[in-house]
Amino acid sequence: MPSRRSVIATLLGGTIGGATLTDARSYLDRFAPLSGEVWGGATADTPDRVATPYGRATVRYDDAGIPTVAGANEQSLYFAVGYVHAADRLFEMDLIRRRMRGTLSAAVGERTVESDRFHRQMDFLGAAEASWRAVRDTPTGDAMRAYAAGVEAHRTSEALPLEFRLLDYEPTAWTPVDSMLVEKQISWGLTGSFRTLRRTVAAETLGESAAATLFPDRMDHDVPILRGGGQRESGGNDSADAPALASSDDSTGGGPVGSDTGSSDLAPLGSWLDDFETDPGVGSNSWLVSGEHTDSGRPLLANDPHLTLMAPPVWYQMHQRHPGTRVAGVTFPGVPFVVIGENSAGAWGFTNVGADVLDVYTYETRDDEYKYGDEWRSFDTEEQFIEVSDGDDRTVTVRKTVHGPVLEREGQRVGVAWTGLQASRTAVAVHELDRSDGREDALETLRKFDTPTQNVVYADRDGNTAYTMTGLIPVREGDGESVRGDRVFDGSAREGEWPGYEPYGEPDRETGWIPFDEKPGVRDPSYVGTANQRVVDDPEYYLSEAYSAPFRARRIDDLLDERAAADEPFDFEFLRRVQRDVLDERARSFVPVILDARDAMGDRARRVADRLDGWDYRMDRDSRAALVFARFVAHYRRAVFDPVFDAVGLDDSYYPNDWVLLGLGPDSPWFTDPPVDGVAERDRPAVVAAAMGATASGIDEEGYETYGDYNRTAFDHPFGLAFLNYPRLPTDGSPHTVRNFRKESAVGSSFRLLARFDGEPSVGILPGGNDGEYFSDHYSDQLRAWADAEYRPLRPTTSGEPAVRFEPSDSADTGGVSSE
Amino acid sequence: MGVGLATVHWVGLLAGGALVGLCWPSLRRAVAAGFGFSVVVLAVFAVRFVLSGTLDQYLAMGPLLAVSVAVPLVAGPLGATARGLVPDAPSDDE
Repeated sequence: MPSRRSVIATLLGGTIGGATLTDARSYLDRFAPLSGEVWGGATADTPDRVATPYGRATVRYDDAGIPTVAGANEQSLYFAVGYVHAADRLFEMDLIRRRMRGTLSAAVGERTVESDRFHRQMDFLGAAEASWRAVRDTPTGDAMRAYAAGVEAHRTSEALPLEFRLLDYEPTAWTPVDSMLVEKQISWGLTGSFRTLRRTVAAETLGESAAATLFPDRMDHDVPILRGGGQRESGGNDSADAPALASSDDSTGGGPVGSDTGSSDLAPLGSWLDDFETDPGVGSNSWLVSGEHTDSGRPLLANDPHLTLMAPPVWYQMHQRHPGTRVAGVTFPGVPFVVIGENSAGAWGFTNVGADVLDVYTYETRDDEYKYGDEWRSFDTEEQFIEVSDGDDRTVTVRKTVHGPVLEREGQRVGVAWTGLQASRTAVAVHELDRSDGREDALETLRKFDTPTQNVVYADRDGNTAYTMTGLIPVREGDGESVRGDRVFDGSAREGEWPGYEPYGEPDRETGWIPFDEKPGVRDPSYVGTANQRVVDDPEYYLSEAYSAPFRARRIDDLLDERAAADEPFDFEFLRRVQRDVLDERARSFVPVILDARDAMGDRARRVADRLDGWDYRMDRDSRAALVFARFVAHYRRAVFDPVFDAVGLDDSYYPNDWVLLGLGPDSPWFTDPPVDGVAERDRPAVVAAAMGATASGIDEEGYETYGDYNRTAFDHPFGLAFLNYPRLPTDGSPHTVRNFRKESAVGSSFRLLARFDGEPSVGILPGGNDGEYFSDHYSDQLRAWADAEYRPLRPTTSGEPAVRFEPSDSADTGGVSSE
Repeated sequence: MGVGLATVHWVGLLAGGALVGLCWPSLRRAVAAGFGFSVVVLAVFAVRFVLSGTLDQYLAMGPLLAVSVAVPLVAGPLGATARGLVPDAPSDDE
């Protein structure tokens, strides 16, 4: 019988050996109390002095963790900005560059392999390198090098954020190319749409007529951004966009021949790409009012971009100062410049245009060649390896044609042309916008804003205002004439060519793009609002395949029109009231239809529908009617389309927007003659009744009482650990109200800005907190204010002891930052 | 000394348990003392969060909280079993 001593020795030795020689050691290194690496962030102090090679700078934080960074010169400022970004958002920055480089799986494992495959095939890294080559020898290049050095100063000397310890890896050096990758991600998120592909698949599957319903070329409304009256482009008629251009009606599918050309076979490819393209909820609001119509005599400006709501937020709020420049607003972590905000001269905001800047091409192929015109060309091919943490590495074949990357799925290939694959000067434009000295200066620098296509509203302190549009928009050519971009082109036949386009290189900006001066725009409008709707009714050039549903646009225009027609001038309180508005125009148009269908409903559905009678159409958290309507629309969408989609294997990415859904009249073929055999004729009131029945059941099952029980913030950390997610709070608004919140997709107002020039501070609010460090007091401290549509003044912190002083040191270098 | 070692490396939790255990005359008492050491470690750990104002965040960390609590509760008594490698001290009754 073994002795006690031998048993204990075996126990201790086995335990220690097991702990040190197995994966358990890694866990103990990270999670053991007192010594574990993950706990460092809970107690770590930020150093109050940091050596810098660029000159003095200081950082002071306000009570929401919003820094005021002041530099003795521009480069010392951006070094400090890089340091501050790294201190608060380094993991988010690393995650973005990993996603765009296609190296996520090396950190997080199997679940991101397909993402890495897509991003490698698109070669966003090559596009970012092209942008850096275009910028590196400019003052903006100097600023980005200083910024990268600041990031490196923090990364190489301070405790890494919790997430790196959880994933057990260390980030590599930050470079200016990484900043360019962040810009590419933003551009892709706003303009990377494969709608053309989906429309083609829908036409092949359901017929052209049904596809035209799901993906309309034009929505019949009267609220374009520029409605006439002082605008450079006048509107007001019902003609289709760019009517002189070649129509797509007879050309859906492209019709080329060869192994890669069967359009219906593109469905798997389209479904795969759905995971990586622009979220249909991405949009924004902005509006400005001329000083002629305000109580202060100064302009007013509002902006709230609707982007992914997550923990931490997409934006990082800050104040930046150096001699001659004071700018405040929001930056993207990873890029040093304020994108939306105000400076000493003016204020500005962005919304997405939705311009068509991506085309898809099919090719006639043989072996590893594709036909281009009369010649056969070899694909530019490279084999790459995707490293997978705790899994087998993968191989991905990266192919390119003259148009750009080739995307492949289940044996189907398409070429992709996207403006963002070229060298972009957007970083220069935003950098100069921060330093701009009034409207004309701002408009001049916006010429360099190559990607993405954005609506810009601008107002300066002298009372000058403007609306303009940024971004390169291709003028496509085929058979010697301009063509629309709303179909899959036959790349072998050289359809839909973009003169001047140079993927992964410097474009010829003078050839083949809509000239900046010929884009829609207006100086000194009385007022103008943008909500991603059609820009003008009759553009000179083809601009877009599709715009957002005009519900928000209509509401904003109605409110602005009503105020303008009243004797009362616009004031700041009105500006705020519009941004907080929760009236849902969908409800105004469709609730009467629901109420008319009550005779077709069962008792329970009718009792629920009765809640809508007399409702004010406001999506308030305390409203039972808002709950009923929101849930009804979701069930109605499924009731109308799912029988057809299920019969032909189309997924929910083919759902049209709610303007289309709610605009289907009782005589629509989707009810009277569904476009698929086997789906019987339906009666719209019966479909409405069935959807209301499902709504009633669903509400009961979930135990919802009011809209706020359902409409709760769910802004999650990409990591998937519950404690990193933001708290769930009830809030107001819907996907189609001005106060924008899409509960199902966690998209909505990612920053709310109300800018004024009357001496009082402008205000803003973030959906969460400025600091991405979980243990920080500012991890989610603005969330409740955001959910309640409250604001904080954009007031810099200029007094008190700085939290960090950056001081020149002989020993300080650039942190080993390389240009690439 | 045990707590000090534990702040440097997780092996310090075992070593601290062993040091505490060796101070007691029997294995049973040593293991109990090792458990006490674990509690002290956790108390010190919690105080650090209190002092940095992050205790609420720590308590919300779910699985990470559980691991950080479990590790010393196992390691302290386990280290204290080292007392069993040497003979028990004679009791006062002997």
